[in-house]
Amino acid sequence: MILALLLIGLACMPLLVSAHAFGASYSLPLPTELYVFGGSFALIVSFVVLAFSPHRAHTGAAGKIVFGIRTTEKLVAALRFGAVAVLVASIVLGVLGPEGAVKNFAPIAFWIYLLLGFAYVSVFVGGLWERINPFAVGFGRRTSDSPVRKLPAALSSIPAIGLYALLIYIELLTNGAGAVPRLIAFGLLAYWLISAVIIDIYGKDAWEKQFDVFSVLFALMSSFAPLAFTERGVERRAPFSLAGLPRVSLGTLAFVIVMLAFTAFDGFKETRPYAELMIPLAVHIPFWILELCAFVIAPALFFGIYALCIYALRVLAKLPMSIAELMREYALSLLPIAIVYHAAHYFPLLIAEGQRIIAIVSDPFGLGWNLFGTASFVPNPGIIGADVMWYIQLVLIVGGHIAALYVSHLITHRLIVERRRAILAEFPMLAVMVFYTAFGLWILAQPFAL
Amino acid sequence: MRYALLAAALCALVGAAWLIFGKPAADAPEEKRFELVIERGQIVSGETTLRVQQNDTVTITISADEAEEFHLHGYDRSVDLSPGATHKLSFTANIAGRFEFELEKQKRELGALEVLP
Repeated sequence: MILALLLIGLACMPLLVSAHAFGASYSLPLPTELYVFGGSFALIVSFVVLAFSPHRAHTGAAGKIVFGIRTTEKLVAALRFGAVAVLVASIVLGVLGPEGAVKNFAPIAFWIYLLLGFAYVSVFVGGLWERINPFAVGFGRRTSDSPVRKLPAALSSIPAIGLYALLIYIELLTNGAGAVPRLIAFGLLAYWLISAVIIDIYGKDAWEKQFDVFSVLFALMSSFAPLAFTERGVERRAPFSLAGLPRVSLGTLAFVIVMLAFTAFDGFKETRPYAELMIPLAVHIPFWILELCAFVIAPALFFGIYALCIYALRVLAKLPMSIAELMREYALSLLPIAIVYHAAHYFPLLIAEGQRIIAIVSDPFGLGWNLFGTASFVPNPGIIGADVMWYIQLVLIVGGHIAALYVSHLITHRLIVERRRAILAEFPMLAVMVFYTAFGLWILAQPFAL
Repeated sequence: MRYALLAAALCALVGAAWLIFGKPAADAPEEKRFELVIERGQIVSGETTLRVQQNDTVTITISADEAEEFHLHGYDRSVDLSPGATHKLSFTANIAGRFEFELEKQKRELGALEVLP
């Protein structure tokens, strides 16, 4: 794949730009007392959730239409136009705009507003990206006409996962190369062209489910969204309901683990404990090799912990299903934790760096224009107070823990009818979720390296 | 589980945390001074993490062995450095957070200012 080769080549290049090309969140480490309090609260609430939660999701007003199809179609058409405009602008301005990452439209649009902003929109509204995806505009054919041109089902979303891993590698371990505007522009253009070829060969359905990293990511993020775009308009969905969700695949499981692991790795690598672990080793082994190893080990570790938990669950509950099947069944219970790990770590960055768009839109080419009178706008790093941000992060992590535990509870009671075995099965998942939650809080509480 | 219950649990979390750990009465702002000596692109004398309270007056005295620009992110404050001279950066730390400072031309991160709320 040309894009993969391009990105791999990019990742292997020596330092192109500063270690500081892009992205500062200005957040402080979580105070120790808040970390301990949050972890303790999560543990106590866990038992309440398990003891008192119903065994089926509350359906309430699920299915109720919020916006009808006519309103929705107009909205989607406008958003689709906007998405294509942003994509074209990112490519053009990435090439012709200012060279500095913090002054150029492309890095802000791609790393901040697409990969962070739209991801968080997807948590609340499902089905939107597939309707406005700018890479697929103009391609109507859902499936391939040729019976020969079928992707193996076992391939699942592995290509999308590979591309996601590559994106995160570029973001974290190439010293800012991923923020170079021209490289982002060429990458987007190449991705657009390659996507067109894949859609033409295999159809849009296969491309969305197996290749397009954005479709797979945003679909996953919207698994429990309270609202969803459907053929009837925008509908309400039951909170954390498993009904209507497609069967979890190997790809879904892998993507959730990878999302969780890489976010934790990104947070951990900025901390003093990470530096204290790596610096002595760097005397003997090149630092970039150490970081690459850590990058690969992170998802393996998270996968191993999860697999161990599932093994314990299978033994305690005496379930006949294989460990692989159970791991897929419970995969969605990890998703709320993956989402809040992501949000707790990157939401401050979205707030701090997202403001830069206000100045950029007034002078997109860096020629001294002032189209909207905002060219001299300077981002306010204190727009959300540091202490308020602590509480936001605390609420996110603990809230995700509660949601994850609830989803696990629903899955358990879907699989096991006998009450005693169901209760026994809850404990391994409780343990792994308490571990992930405590670890997430611990990372946020660590002093930064330097 | 209804969203209202989840929201109630999280409000209880924030409320309890705020009651137990919430902001004490703010200390009177102080003047904090730091001295940094930079050689070969690194701090050889002085701390790499400077900690102050919000609204403290901060004065950073910097000397370097090469011509460079010392840049404090977030506050967006800079001072040009020249070898053999001592330079001062003074400001009020009115924004809480963690702000990295660097040698701008080399894009080399030196340390960070942590302003506690």
